[in-house]
Amino acid sequence: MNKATAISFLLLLTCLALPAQGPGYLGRKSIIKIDGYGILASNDYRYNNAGIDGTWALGRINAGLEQITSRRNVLGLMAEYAQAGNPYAFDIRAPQGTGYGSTKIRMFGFALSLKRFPFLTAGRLAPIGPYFQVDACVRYATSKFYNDLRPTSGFPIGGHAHTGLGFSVGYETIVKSHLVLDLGMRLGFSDMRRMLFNGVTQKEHIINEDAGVLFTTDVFRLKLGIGWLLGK
Amino acid sequence: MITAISSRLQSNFRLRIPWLRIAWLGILIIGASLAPKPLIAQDYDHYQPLECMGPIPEELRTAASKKYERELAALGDSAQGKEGRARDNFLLQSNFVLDDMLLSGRVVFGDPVSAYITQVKDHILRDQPELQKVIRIYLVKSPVVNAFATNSGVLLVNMGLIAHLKTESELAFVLCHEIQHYIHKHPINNYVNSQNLKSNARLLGLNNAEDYIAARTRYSRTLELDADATGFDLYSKSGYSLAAAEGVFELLDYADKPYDQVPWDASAFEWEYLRFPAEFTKWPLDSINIKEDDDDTLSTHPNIARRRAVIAKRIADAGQDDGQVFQVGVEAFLDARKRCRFELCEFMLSNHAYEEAIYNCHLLQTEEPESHYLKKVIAEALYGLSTYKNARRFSDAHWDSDDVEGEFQQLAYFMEMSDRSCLNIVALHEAWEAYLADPTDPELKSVAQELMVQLFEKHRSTTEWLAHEKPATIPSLIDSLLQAKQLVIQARVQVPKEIVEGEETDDEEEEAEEEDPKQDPNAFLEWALTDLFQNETFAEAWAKQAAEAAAIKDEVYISATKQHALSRTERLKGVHLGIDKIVLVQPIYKSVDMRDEISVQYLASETALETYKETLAQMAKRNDLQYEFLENRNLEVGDVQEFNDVSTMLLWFSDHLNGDDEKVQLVNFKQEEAQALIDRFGTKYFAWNAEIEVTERLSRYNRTLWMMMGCAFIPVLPLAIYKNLKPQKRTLFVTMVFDLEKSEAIWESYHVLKANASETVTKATIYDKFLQIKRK
Repeated sequence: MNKATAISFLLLLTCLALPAQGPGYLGRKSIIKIDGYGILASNDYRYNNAGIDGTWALGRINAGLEQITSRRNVLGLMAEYAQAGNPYAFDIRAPQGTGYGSTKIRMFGFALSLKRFPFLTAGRLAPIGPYFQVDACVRYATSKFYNDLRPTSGFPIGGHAHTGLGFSVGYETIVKSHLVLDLGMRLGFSDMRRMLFNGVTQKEHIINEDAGVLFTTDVFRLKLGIGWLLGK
Repeated sequence: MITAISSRLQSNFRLRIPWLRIAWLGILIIGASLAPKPLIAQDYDHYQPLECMGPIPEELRTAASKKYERELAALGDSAQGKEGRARDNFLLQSNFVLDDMLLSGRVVFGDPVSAYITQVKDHILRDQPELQKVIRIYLVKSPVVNAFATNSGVLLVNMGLIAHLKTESELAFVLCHEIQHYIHKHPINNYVNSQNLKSNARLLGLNNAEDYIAARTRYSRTLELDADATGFDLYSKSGYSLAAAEGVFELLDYADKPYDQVPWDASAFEWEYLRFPAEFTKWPLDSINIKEDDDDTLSTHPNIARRRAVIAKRIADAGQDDGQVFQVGVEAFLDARKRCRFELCEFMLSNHAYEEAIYNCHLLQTEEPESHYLKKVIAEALYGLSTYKNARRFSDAHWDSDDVEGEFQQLAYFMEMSDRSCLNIVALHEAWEAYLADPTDPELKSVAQELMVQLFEKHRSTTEWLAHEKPATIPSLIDSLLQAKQLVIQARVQVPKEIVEGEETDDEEEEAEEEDPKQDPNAFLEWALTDLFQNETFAEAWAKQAAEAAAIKDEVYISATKQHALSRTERLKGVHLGIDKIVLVQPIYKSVDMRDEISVQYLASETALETYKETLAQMAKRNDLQYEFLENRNLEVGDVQEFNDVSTMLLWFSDHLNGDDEKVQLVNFKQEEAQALIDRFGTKYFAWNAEIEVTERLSRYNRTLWMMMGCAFIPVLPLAIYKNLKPQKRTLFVTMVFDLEKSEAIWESYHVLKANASETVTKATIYDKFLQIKRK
């Protein structure tokens, strides 16, 4: 059992151990949720064999279900999907410097999260007020290279699975009787660890390590989530 | 002493009725006397407090905002301009404050006393039928000697005033005085004047608060003298004795004291085998010192000497005095006064003025020596004193005998001399005597049992040497008493007086008591309970308590006193009360903006209250919690029973909150009324809910601090400016759930949100509270 799985399992146990007495918002305890993330992504020239560096924003969408398990805790199970393109890639099949194009990456994953509302101020009911969240995720990413001369036919350049652990802070509130708004930011533990041990230039790959094409950091994300409370 | 008692009474009253602050609106104090046939006979042996009767008056059924709009419209053009705004503000505040007062549960209408006062008023205004209709009398359940006139013609007369009257003519003069306040619009003029002074303070050379208060009260005193003079003109036409009007000032002289001076001594608690040592009696007592010409520079009223002089001159100028002291009737006057004097007992118990309650009963016993009600009040008062003394909070319920005068001083001195175990035994004896005389009385039962528990809990060693059998011969008893007195004297000599009487010595006294019971200065109490031990019920209860005390360790008592405190788990996860039906009593919603001249947003609060009540109902339904509102707003004309129910509950809450001291857990004395409500509503759970929103500026200190930080670190400046401009908002949610059967609050939830609560948060909070109430 790897570390992320163990942590996820512990999170689940923690949530289940809590007494199911959370009232939710007017008794509504389940939330269907879509989170949009903005991640600052960068291409690391040392790995893409091209010597081209660049930075761009990468979007990510999580969709899933959150369940209010107690007065202050919310357990979430999210499906993650991210799609991104790298406009600075070289064709790894061609002699170096002779072919270039772009790569497109798709990433799928699942995340288990535990959100905790530590301050008993705003109604004493999850999901209202400031919160902390920890999450553990498992992801699989695939990449394709597109030569500029053949833009419609991608060349698969491999897939990669990895795990992650994150810590978030944010504020959640009920906008209307069923509508939930969630604003937050996430710090990636694993990326932070790599940065601390290897220096800031040694950034973690999260998309595709084997392909060696696109590397991004996942240290910091901004999140905007919208949810819908189930129940009458 | 006058000041001390007055401030005590007023502070107690203010605590429970914040609307008394309306006094600054220009209202007055006064007092008076006798009347016709009592409308309903009262059983003074089992006295029943006064209740509202008959149709509910229109002004108690009309929203304050409507009354305000009506009066504002009547102002017409005078509502324009700077003074017009002041008048507008006055009408807004006075209507809402008066409405709060009328619906506070302390105002009585349609009762025999109100009817009597109305008869006196009608007699005075018999030639002015229009004015007769406009002036409406309400009786206020307050021990303070006072009466108020409002701008709308409502005259509020305190029961304390009626209790102190000597004659009907005194009441007539008070009413004449108050009617003049109404006729000449003194309350609103006083307010407008004070606003003018405030806005033109610099121009008028009012350089500090004292100058301003002096200028404001100067005008107020002028109005008072004017009301005295014009009131006397009206009075002189009413057929009452002119000379009798001066009696009002004597009444004011003694307003802070008991209404009579009848010697009291420790023999009140003695019987054949219980005699208190001579030390328990103070001699001589301090005589009452009255000062009429005190400095009134900062007072809203002229001193009594000045007022007396004005009226004395008027009486002398009037010449022949052929008026009567009583016009409505002696019998009705005596009946009204007696009822109000009995009512004082309730107020005193509620305000923890137990010594005053005992003295008041002592005065009433001259008329009703066998009244069971009075014996019950004495027992409850002694219970209160004993509980406070046992909890080492005696100073919270006691007058220092050096601070009081007259016959009452003897009682205060006796209480000081009685140590904790002595007072506990005396209280136990009186309570059990009263309880055995009426075993069906639930309050006395609780009090009697509670006192026995206290005795075993706090003075177990004492319980071991108390005799169960009467001594064989009287002489031996006398010898023992003499010996006991000697021991008392020795004990007092050995220990400095201030330490003996101070609370800090309580432990030491008890230790001494436990170490060597034979040296106990309370040895004279050895046979104090021997008469009760002859009673089977008492003996059984004693044996049962003794067995329990032997089996139970002290920790049990400690945990019992902590039962009201929620555990950390309960605070975080909530409680499970498992209540199916609850009565929501008089919900409150207030919006306060401290930045405004009138901080309470009256009109907005009135509107928001309806929304708040709807939310309460909605959230109760979502939780499947059966609920019923009990409130005295928007009632129909015939709903006097509901009105009385609300009054009972509000006073019950008030009693409970007044005695909300963790170390002093008192039995609630209104158990019979509570039981009636339980029967009516089919539940013993009553809840009080409130939401209060407060908006205010950041404190000056914090504003300065932020600006200094902004100046020192320029990047912080925008935040500093924002902090300076942004008002601070807080919302307080309160829910208190009471179990009327047990007379205790089973859950008190105070929740402060550092923001104005949105509709969502309000709903969430109320839902959460109701969920905790409902879930098992």
